[in-house]
Amino acid sequence: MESLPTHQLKRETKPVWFKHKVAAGLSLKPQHFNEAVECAVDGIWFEVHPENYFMAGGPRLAGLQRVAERHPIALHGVGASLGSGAPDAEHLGRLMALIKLINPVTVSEHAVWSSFNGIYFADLLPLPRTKVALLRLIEGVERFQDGIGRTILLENPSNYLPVKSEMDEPDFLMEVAQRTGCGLLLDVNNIYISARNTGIDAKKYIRALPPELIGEIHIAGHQNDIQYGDKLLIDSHDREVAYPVWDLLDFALQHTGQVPILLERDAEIPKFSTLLDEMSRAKHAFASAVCSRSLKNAET
Amino acid sequence: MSYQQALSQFILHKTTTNLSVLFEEGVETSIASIYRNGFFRSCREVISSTFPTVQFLIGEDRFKEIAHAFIQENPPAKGTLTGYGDKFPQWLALQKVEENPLLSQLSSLDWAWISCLYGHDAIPLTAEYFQSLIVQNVTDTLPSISLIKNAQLLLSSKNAISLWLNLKKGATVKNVDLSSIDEAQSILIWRPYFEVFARPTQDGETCFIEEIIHNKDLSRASENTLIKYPNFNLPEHFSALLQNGLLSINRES
Repeated sequence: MESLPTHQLKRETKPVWFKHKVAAGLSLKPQHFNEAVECAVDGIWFEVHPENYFMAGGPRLAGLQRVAERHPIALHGVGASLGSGAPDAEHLGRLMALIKLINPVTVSEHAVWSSFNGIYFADLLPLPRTKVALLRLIEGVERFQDGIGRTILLENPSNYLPVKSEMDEPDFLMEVAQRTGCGLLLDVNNIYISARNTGIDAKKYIRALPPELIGEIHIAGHQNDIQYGDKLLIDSHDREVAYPVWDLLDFALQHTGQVPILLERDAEIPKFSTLLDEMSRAKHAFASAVCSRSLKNAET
Repeated sequence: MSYQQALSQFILHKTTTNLSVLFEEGVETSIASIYRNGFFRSCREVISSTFPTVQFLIGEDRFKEIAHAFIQENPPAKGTLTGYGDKFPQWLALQKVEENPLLSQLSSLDWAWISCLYGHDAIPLTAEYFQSLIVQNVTDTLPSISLIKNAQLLLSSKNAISLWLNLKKGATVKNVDLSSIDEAQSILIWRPYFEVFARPTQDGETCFIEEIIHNKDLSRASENTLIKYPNFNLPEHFSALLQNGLLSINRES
């Protein structure tokens, strides 16, 4: 695509996306605060949606602080609406207050929009992959990063329908990363869902992304749509990770090498021990990534 | 028409005509209902968990209808659903719902409860600390005392308060007359530490608390209350407020 005139390339050195050495982690829910504090699994870390902690005080915020005193916490935003351009100042202020409170190891957001004309749609809404949308997302990421004084990781969306497109999604995301200095959060489940729903090649998608840009990987469960069945997969985060997603994770790790992996679970929350069991599969994949990458390097 | 306008109109009003701005030609745009359903479901879940006593009384199906109408008229404005629903009690009071005004009173109590849960953490004045002030003989120059930040004094009806307290305790509630309301009564809802408490207050104590809120001066609040309620048992009620963790030293004074 033609070059965009208004922004300069920002990356000068190889980035370090996480402030701590971590391996596999879990979405953290209030019902698991006590077990998370006591958890001694090596390399574990936790991730929360900061918007659920936009409050002045109370037990939920105190619980998060307790976990943050013992383990690395990442903030994974869902409400900044970066695809809308300049983020809301009040939103940034509340996020900054939380960042100061818990000092997260990383902050991430989504390549989507969720607010328009003063209405928050509480969902990750798709962007067309056009120059207009790209410039707006770049502006959103830049202002967001400037507002919080940090470089963020930007997550690829899950697509239910093919959007208007002047470029592939990897190119779209890489352009944002190149122009803003942000990294990428590779959601393997999202890629699998998009591949099934819109016909893209999941492995080609992953191979197209430079490994050094990828700072975090997400895996999660999905489900078939009630009406459309397996022709439409929904990013529900309400069940175990499906086998093809585990396979795609292994493939992704061969490409990226060791990148922190997060097991997401946002609904139908099982016991903490059940999540740890499922996470151990991701931890094993993380450990194996060193070997497979070394072999790959030796071959080339 | 921008892609954001097109999808917004579809989510709020089911307008499909402009979705081609966002999605490729020829796709099954009915699939976009995922976004519309997701929006209303997320908002409804928050309204449902914020106003549990309202939902309990009218049942899940009717609550869904009412919540949907509220969301349509009052969609969230901030990039979070934490704190969404603040306008629900006032909105509900204006609806032609046969259980009103009792239902809207319950929603106000639910909202006060959640506001206390998420509000600023308090630093309650302890009985021990207050005692130490007396021992140090500094009671003539007592620091300004007010209610903790996380306390609300609300006026509702006796039957709404009784019903709400029972529902919050998880008590079985049967044969509730939702069509009428009793005389007015005050209720205190507060969170001293990590748990929210609530109890009704009687006239003298209500007056005393209002005076503390208004004057932030214990001596004046006591004097004014005793003028209006000469038989008011001031030591007993002050001690109760202290034990409940409802008082704090006003550090802004």
